[in-house]
Amino acid sequence: VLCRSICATVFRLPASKPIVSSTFAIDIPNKVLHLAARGDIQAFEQLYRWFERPAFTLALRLCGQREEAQDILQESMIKLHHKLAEFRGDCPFWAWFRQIVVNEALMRLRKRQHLHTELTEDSHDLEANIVLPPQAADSHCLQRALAKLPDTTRSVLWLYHVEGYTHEEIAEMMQKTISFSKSQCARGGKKLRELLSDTHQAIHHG
Amino acid sequence: MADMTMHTHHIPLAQALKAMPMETPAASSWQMVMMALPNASSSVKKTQHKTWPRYAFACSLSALLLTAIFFNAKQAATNSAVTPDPPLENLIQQSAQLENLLLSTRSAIIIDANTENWQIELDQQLQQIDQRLSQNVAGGKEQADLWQARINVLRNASLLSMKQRFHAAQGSNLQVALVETY
Repeated sequence: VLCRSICATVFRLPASKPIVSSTFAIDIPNKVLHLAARGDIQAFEQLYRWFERPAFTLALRLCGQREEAQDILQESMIKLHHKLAEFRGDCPFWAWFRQIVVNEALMRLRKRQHLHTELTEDSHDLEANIVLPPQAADSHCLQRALAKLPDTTRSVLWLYHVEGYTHEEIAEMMQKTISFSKSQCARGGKKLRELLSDTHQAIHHG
Repeated sequence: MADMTMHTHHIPLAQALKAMPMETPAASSWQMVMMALPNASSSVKKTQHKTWPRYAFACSLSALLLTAIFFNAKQAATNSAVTPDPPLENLIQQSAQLENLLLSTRSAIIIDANTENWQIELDQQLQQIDQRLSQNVAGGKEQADLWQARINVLRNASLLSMKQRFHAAQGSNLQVALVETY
């Protein structure tokens, strides 16, 4: 709660701008970026505070473990510091930094061979627009169901549906085929729906 | 009936995932990151002494900071009768100092339920103040009052956290100590 309130202060936008929830909308003053790129620790700390939670959340959704997500956050921030001078400002800062976090998370999953764990059930019914039961509105419920998915499947789902990567981009990052990304996405969604429906039945039918 | 509800309240997958709240790490990694940065590591390493446990160093540094902030605040309060309110910048700066102090003093120490309740209560107060501040409060006295209230809450939260650490370092319990005192 404290961090939420601190972030609320940190993320506060100037009066003229509407408050939007997208992380892309975080307005990084050029001065802060320049100072941080030149080694100013205070400016870099500001960047850290701005992006600590978005980066941690992304890392957690991909790797599924809080301790590992914290490691990914740390390593990504250190890499950000090293690469900051390369940022040219031609895209939103988060879009650029996010790639560092995604690469770090996928690299760790690959090293631990988690990318070999995926949903492989044979299914010819790959729906494109999956809808979830009402339990999906309960974030704890959804989180528990997500945690039961294999790392690869969950990562593909998150990268495609939330981060907006294309199947081509996901395939390239994961060193897999496009059809692999598509099938993991569809199977993951289907599995998630099953898991949430099971929760619903367990609650309502004892 | 339940099944009918299910059918009428289906949520698109992407929408459900996007609605999930942001996560917060258990503790800030800033100190660890800073130690790993080339510019900061040399200066930070100099401040570490091998014979001092890290937590003791952090505690004493925090205590010094807190004392300095209290002293400033007390002095400001004493002077307030004859001088105008401190400028907003000072309040914001003081708030930021306390916020950093609180972040560095709060740790993964296991705390009892009562202390956690106080922490949650203080955090909620802080959240309410931040909410008010984010609603484009017109400048002047109201804004300054809100920042001052923020400082007061942060100060209480820091004190609680410091006392918790102090008692943990001594192997005692804050709750027991409070019962003995009051």
